[in-house]
Amino acid sequence: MLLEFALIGGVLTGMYYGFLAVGLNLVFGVLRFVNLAHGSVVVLGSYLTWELSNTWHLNPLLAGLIAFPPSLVLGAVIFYAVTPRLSRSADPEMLSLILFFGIAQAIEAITTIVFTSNRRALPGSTLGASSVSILGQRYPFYWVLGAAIAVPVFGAIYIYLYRTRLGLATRAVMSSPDDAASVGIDVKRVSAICLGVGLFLAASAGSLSIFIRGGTDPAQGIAVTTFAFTVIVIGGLGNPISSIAGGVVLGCAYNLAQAYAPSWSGVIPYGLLLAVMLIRPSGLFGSQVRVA
Amino acid sequence: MLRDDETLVGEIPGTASKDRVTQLFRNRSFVGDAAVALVLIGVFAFGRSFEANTLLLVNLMVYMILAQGINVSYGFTGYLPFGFVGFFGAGAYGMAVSTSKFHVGAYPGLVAGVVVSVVVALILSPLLRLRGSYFAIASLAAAEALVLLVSNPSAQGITNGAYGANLSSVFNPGASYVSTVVALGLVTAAVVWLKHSPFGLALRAIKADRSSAAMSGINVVRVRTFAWVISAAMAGLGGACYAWVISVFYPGDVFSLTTSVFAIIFALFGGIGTVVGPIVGTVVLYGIYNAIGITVPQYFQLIYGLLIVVIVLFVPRGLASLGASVFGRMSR
Amino acid sequence: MIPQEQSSTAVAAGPASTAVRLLEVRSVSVMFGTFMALDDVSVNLDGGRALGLVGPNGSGKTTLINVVTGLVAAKRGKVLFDREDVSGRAPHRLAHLGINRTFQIPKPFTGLTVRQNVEVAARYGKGRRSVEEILALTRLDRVGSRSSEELTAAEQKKLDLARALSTAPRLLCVDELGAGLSVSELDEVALMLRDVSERWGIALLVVEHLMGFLERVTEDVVVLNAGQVIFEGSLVDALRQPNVIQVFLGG
Ligand SMILES: Nc1ncnc2c1ncn2[C@@H]1O[C@H](COP(=O)(O)OP(=O)(O)OP(=O)(O)O)[C@@H](O)[C@H]1O
Ligand SMILES: [Mg+2]
Repeated sequence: MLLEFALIGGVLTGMYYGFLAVGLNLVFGVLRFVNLAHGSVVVLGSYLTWELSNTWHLNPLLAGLIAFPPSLVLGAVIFYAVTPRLSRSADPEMLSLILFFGIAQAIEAITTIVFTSNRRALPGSTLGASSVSILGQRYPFYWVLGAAIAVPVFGAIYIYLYRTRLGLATRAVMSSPDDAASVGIDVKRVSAICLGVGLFLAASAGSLSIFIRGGTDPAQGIAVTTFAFTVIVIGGLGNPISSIAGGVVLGCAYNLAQAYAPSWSGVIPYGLLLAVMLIRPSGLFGSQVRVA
Repeated sequence: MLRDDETLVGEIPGTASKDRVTQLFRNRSFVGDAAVALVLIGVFAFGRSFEANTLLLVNLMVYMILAQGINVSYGFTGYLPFGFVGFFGAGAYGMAVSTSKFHVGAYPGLVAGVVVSVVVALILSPLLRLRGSYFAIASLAAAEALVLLVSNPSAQGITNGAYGANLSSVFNPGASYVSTVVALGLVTAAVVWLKHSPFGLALRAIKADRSSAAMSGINVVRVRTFAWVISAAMAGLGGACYAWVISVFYPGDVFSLTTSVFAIIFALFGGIGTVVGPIVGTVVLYGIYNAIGITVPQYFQLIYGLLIVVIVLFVPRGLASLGASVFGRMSR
Repeated sequence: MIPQEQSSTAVAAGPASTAVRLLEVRSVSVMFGTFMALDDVSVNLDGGRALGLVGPNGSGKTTLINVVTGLVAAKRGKVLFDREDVSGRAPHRLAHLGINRTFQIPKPFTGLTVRQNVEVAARYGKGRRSVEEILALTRLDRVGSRSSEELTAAEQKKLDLARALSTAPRLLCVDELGAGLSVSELDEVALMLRDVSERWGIALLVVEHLMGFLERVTEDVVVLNAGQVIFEGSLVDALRQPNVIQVFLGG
C-alpha cells in the first residue's frame, strides 16, 4: 500500500516537477547558461497566486496565465541589457551564472519588499476538491491537478518545438547558434523569446507550487532552482521534453524516501543530483556529454 | 604518493633555491603583496584597541579568509564553488564536535576542523571533473546535502543535530581572537605564495587551458585537487576559528548559502587572482553591509543583487584590475 | 630521456634503417559516438625523422595527433613509443616521456606572459633548456613580457612551439603550424622546425595543408582520407597518385 501510494504519488508530483523545471531546461538549451533566477521567479509566481486568491478572490491558477506578457517583457529586457556585454567578457559561462544569481537576489528582495517575508500558503480546497481517489487510495487533488496541467503544458511545448517555425528556429539555435545564424535565423530574437518563455513557465509553475510545496516564502528561490536543476540533469540537459521524465524519477525517489525514511527525504534531490552528475552526466535519458 | 619523476611543485632539481628567494625580493609585486599581508596582520592584531566590536573584526577576518579561499578556487583554478560554505561549516563542526564530544583542547580542535574540511574536499574531489556551472551547482548541492546530514536526527548523537553546537568548554575570547588573526595571516601568506610560485603559475595555466597544461607536463588532476584542498582547508580553518569565537551556533548559522555568496562577491568585487583584491572587496562591501544591512535586510539584498549585476557587467575583473591599470599607467 | 647527443648520432647516421623506431601507431580506431574518425590507422616514425600527415578537412589528422598525445582515447589499437605501449597514458606523462605537440588553434595560457608560458612548460615538462634559449630560438624574446593573449596569431603559434620545445620532446607533433602565416613567416617557421629537428634530434609529425611548407620539412608523407590511410610514401609520389589527387580536389 505504502509503496503503491509512493509510486503513484511520485508519478503525479513528478509530472508537475517536470513542468516546474522545463523552463530552466529551455533556457539552458538555447542560451547555454543556468538561469539561477528560475526559482525566484517560481516563488514570485506563488506570491502572485496567493495575492489573486486572497485579495481578489480569483481562481489561483489564473496567475499562471496573466504572468505571460510580463515574463516575455522581462526576458527581453534582461536578454538585451545583459548578453552583449556578457558575451564579450572573459568567462561568459561563469559570469552569467553569477549575474543571474544577482538577478535572483534582486527578485527575491523585491518579492520581500512587496509581499513581506511572511510565509504564504493556500488550503487545497481553494482549488475546489481537496482529494481524489485512485485505485482505492486518496491523493491530494492538487497532485492530480499538477499532473493534469503538466500534460498539456508539455504537449504545447512539443507542438511549439516540432510544429512551428519559431520552434524549428529554437531547435536550430539549441544545436548550434553559429549554424543557426548562418542560415538566417535571428539568434538574438529567438534567445530573448526563449528566456521570456522560460520565465513564464517558471512563474506559472509557481501557482501550483504554493500547493504542492505546501506554501512559499521568498528565501526558497535557490532551493527551487537546485531542485529544478536536478530534474533537468536527470532528464538530460538541453532537451526540454525529457524534463518530464526527470521529474517523474525525482518525484518517485522523493516520495519513496518520504514513505520509508522521511528524515532523509530532503537529501534526495541533492544526493540524486550529485550521483547523476558523477555517474551519468548526460542524464538518464540524454546523450550529451559535458564532462571536462 | 609522489613518484620521483613527478614533483608536485615542479622545482627543477639542483637550481639554487637561494637565487629564487633573492629574485623574489627583487620582484616589486611580491614585495607589495607581502607588505599587504603584514599590514593586514598588524591592523587586526591591534584592531581591538580601536574597534570595540570584536565580532565585527572577527566577521571581517572570516570573510577575508573565505574570500581568499574562493580566490584560490576560482581566481587561480577556475572552479567556482557556490557551496563553498560547506567547508566552512565542516570546519566549524570539526572544531565543535572534537572539543565538546571528544574533549580535545581548542588548538587540536582547530586542526580537527581543518582536517574535517579537507576530508570533505577529498570526498568531493570527483566533482572537479565537472566544468563551469555544473561544478558550481553540484558544489551547492553538496553543501546542502552536508547541512542536512549534520542536522539530521540520526546524526544527533555526534553533531547534536538541529539543536546546534556548544563550545563553552573551550570558550576563550582572547585566544580565539588571536587564533583568527593568525589564521588570516596563514591564509594570506598562502595566497602570496600561490601568486608568486611555480605552483600558482601551473594553476593559472590549467585555468587558461587544460590540454595545454597537460601537454606542458602538469598533472592536471593532482594539481587541481591540491588547490581544491588548500582552498577547503582555508574555509575549514575560518569555520573552526569562527566556531570558537561565537561558541554557540546552529547548523543554519555555519552552512548559510549567503556566506558563500558574500565570499564570492567580495572576492569578485575586489579582484580575483590577486592578493589584495579579496581583502579590499571584503572591507568595502562588508562595510556597506554593516552600514545598511542589519536594519533593512531586504533593501540590502536588493542593493547587493543589483551590485552583483553591475560588477559582472562592468568590473568583471574587480577593483584590483582598475587599480592595476591606473598604477601601470603611472609607473610607465 | 635520451641525451641529445645520442639522438643526433642517430640522425647523423642518416638512413632510416639504422634509426631507432620511435613511434608506432598500430591499427588505431577512434569513434565519436557512432562516427568513426580513425579506422585502423597505422603509422611509423623513426627517431629524429620527419613525417608529413596530410588529408582533406575532417580526415582525422588532428584526431591522430590527439591519440598520440593522450588527449583522445583510441577504441582499438595501440600506440608504442620507444617500443613501450603508451596507449591510454595521461598526457602529462607522455609529455614527460618526450611527446609533445602544438595545437591547430594555438592555446596559450592567457593571463600569463609569454615568458611565464614557457616557464611553466620548462618546469613541469622537465626540459633542461633555459627559457631564454627557447625564447630566442623561436624569436619570442622581444615579446617575452607581453601577455600571451596580446600576441598575433603567428606569434601564438610560435609560442605553442616554444612551449612544446621547452619540454625537451623527442617527438613533436605540429598541427597546421603554417596555416594563416605570411610567406616570410612560413619560411621562418619551416626553417625553425628543420633546425630544431636536426640539432636536437627531434622526430616530427607534421600535419599540413600547405604542400610548399611541408616539402621544406619532410619528404615522407602519410595521406589520410575519411579516417583511413590511403597512401604512404614520398610526397612527390603522393602527388602523382590519382586517388590522392581525387581526394584533394574533392571527388
Ligand atoms: N571531440 C569530437 N567529437 C565528435 N566528433 C569529433 C571530435 N573531434 C573530431 N571529430 C570529428 O572527427 C573528424 C576528424 O576530425 P579531425 O579534427 O581529426 O580532422 P582533421 O583532419 O584534423 O581536419 P582539419 O583539416 O579540418 O583540421 C571530423 O569529422 C570531426 O568533426
Ligand atoms: Mg585538424
